[in-house]
Amino acid sequence: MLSQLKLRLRALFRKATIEEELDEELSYHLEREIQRHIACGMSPDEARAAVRRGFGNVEALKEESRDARGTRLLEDLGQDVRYVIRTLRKSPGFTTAAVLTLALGIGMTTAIFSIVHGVLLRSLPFNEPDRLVMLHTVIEDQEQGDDLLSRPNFMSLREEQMRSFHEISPFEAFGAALVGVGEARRLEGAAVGASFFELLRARPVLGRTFRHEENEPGSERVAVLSHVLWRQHFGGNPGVIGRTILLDGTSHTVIGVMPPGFDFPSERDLWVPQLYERENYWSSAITEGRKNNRGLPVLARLRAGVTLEAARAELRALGRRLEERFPETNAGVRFTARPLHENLVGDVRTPLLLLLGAVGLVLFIACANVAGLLLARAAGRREEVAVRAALGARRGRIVRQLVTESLVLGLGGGVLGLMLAFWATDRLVTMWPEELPRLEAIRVDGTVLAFAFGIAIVASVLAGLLPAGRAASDGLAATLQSGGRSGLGSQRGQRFRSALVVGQLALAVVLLAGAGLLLESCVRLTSVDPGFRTERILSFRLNLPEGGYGSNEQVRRFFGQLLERVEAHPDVRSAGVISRLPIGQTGAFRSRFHIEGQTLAGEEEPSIGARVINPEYLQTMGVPVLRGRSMSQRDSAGSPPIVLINEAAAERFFPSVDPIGRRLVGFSWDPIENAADAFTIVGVVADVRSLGLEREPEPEAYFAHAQVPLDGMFVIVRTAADPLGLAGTIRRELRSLDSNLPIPEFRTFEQVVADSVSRPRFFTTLLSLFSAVALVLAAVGIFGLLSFAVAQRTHEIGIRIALGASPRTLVETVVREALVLVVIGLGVGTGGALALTRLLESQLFDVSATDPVTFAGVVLVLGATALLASLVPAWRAATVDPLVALRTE
Amino acid sequence: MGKNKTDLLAGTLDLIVLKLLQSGPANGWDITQRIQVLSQDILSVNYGSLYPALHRLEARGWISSKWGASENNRRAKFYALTTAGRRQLAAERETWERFSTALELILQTR
Repeated sequence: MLSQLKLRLRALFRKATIEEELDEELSYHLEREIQRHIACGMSPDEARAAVRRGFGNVEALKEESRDARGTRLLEDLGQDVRYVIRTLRKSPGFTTAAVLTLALGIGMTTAIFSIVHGVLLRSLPFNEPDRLVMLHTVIEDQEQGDDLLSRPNFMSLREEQMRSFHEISPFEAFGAALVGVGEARRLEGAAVGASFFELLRARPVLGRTFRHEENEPGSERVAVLSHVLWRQHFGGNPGVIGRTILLDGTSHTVIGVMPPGFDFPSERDLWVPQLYERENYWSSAITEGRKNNRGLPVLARLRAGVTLEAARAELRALGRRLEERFPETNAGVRFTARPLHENLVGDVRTPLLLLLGAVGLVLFIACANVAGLLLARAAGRREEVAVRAALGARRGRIVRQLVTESLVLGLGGGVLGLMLAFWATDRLVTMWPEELPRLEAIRVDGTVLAFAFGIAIVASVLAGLLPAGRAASDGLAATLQSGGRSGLGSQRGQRFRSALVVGQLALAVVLLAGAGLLLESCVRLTSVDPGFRTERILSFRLNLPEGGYGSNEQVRRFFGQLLERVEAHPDVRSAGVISRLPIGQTGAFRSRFHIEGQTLAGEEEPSIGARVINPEYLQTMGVPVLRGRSMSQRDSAGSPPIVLINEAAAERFFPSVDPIGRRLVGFSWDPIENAADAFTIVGVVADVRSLGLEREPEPEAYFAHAQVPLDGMFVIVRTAADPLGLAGTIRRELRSLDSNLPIPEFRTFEQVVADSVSRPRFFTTLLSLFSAVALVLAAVGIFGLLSFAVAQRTHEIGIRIALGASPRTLVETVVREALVLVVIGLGVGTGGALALTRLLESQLFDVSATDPVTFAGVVLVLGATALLASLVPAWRAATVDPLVALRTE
Repeated sequence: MGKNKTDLLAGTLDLIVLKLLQSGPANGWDITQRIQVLSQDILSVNYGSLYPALHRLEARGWISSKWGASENNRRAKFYALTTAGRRQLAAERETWERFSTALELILQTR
């Protein structure tokens, strides 16, 4: 066995030596034969001639001996590759065009794939990530169900000792100010159960994680730091364990540091134990708490061997049990589990897959282009192929060599494309809208590399196989006879070319239609009137730490002083506060409520978005009061509680009566509930698109900050000049008011709005880019194929001109032929687009997926481009010099 | 290409080469001569089949090759039977004998 291997390796790598040896062996044989003939009485010359005659074709013999060595295929491949590279270098124009086209297609596809791979396919960086799930509340017989758990329901599930899960743990994001270590800084944290880290199979690099008793209220407050925070803020000092830090004025003991890369939920600076306080978690008496506020994210890990379905069945059964125990709050309430990955990825799946599909179409167009180029090239090389066949090259060998050529092109395109992909992935990641998940998982790695080369090979075979097959099957005799004129000009060649033109056009229609719809939708989205002023407004968020701002009075005084100082600045027109920025944040706090004196008609309690503002807010944002009065300074802590509602609320809840003077009661949101029992409606304000530009306004209520104090507020400042120019001044004012306050991030409102549409804008930009590339590629492809067709027919055109055809007729002939293909291509494409743009429906705003205007535009643009591309070849046909044409070939 | 006086049956050339090499190493020309002599000029093997056969047998590991000096002191390639080749010879020989016995039986029936 070993000696055989040696023999083959030798055959492969010491080819020259082997060939020499073969020569020597044969020449020895020849010599002996000649000697034998001489010994039999021939003259040396006669003997040599006789032997030569008998020897026949020495080359064929060598070939056979080589075959016997079993390395034939590889040797041929090496030979083919060298031959291909030699011939490709002789036609740099063709090579550049083909490689660049493939590189563009492969590069773009790979870049998008690396994102899809990172976001959708790469598994989470936890042990056995597919066993991690999140728990959700669903209402029986209702489709919707993105709700998380309410705290009491979480606690009930936790007490049940479920068979399906090892442990369940909440993880709730919070923000807190870290004071006392360096500059005051706002931290993002998560309050989690003691089993949280164990669930994720994560161990600290320093110290320990939480114990179960640390979830109980009244135990010592502890915190685990992220590696980043530990390095940046504590200098990576291991002595940090046991140190006390102040979070929002409460002291916490640092007990552990997580390893670098542990990042769940994403971008957390630290973790603290969730406190299972009685009033929030246990009491079944707080019916509201069990029923509403289903906002607690809960993580669970499936036990080994338990399927997701089994876990869901158990959760359903538990839901029924809890319904029996708490009929008042849990009517129809069921629980379910969804894979964590699905939860993290959420609704970017569709747009990402759409992008991948779109970029795949671009790749197809690129392949069609290269196929066209190869076809033209193969036609030019028909005679060469014919000569090689005549000299004994087998058909398979010729096809193999032509495919080798496209493979070499494909690999060249692949390498170049990969460089493009590296660059493009980097660019995409920086362009990436912030709210998109799993950014950290995006990178070009082995899988992406394999993908790139996979598609490079597939693309080149796709592009090369048909032309190669065509070239090799062209009758050898026919080719040589015709002096290389017929062949690919034949009917079959014609049909293949036509198919390429039609296919490219159709794919381009699909892409352009998709991009057109998204563009239209984006334009409509950004031109929506949000209902408030966005220009020259600065916003920042302030969270007052509990320590030092324990009482409502202190909070009120702080914001009062701050606004007073800010408004004193000559560049400031007005300044206000609001609990949650419209558009900028995901939703308002929703709260259930009743209208006083009105019995519930429906089964569902009404709910309303609740925002807390100060009197200056409405004026600062330019939101008009439509009925009643606005909020004023007189609506203070001591005066009767008031509320403003928006028009949507007035229409929904007071369709036939005047809401002014009615009272709203029974709010489920704690800050309102704690502030007063009833709020009198004093005014109706105009609707604003507070949930995002794409969302219709929903019922909302505005409460007075003086009456419903919150310590976390957004400050809104309308300025006379560039809003960001004011940031420095405000920073100084904040410092002088309280040097322990973390410095907030300043953003203009225009930025807030722009960020809110960054995702559709991002996808639209990409798809537009793809379709622009597709348009150019298709135009170039059509131009190339038609030029080639005209060049093929130079002889025929020459005859026509000689027989008296006018240039005009010739142009018409060529354009008419092109037109037929264009019309078919556009027709097929429109059909395909109508079917495919439906997939886009969920991504569109205010545009139908079959928007006739967009479709007409696309057909027009592509039709015009295709015709333009056919004009040049047509003109070239018309200006053929008959003398030259007839003399060609 | 020259014609053999009697064409070799397919597959028999391997057997012949292996058998001839059993008595010791030989080069390609020797082998053609010995085939001719031993078969009393009935069989003549064309080098066009012989060399590919030699290379094939070598590739399968049944024979090995070595450069050496020929009887007239020229450099020539000598082929020798390997252990695997010996086994192969025995196997092929048995196959052939079974085949020829069977053929004989059929041909003798009247």
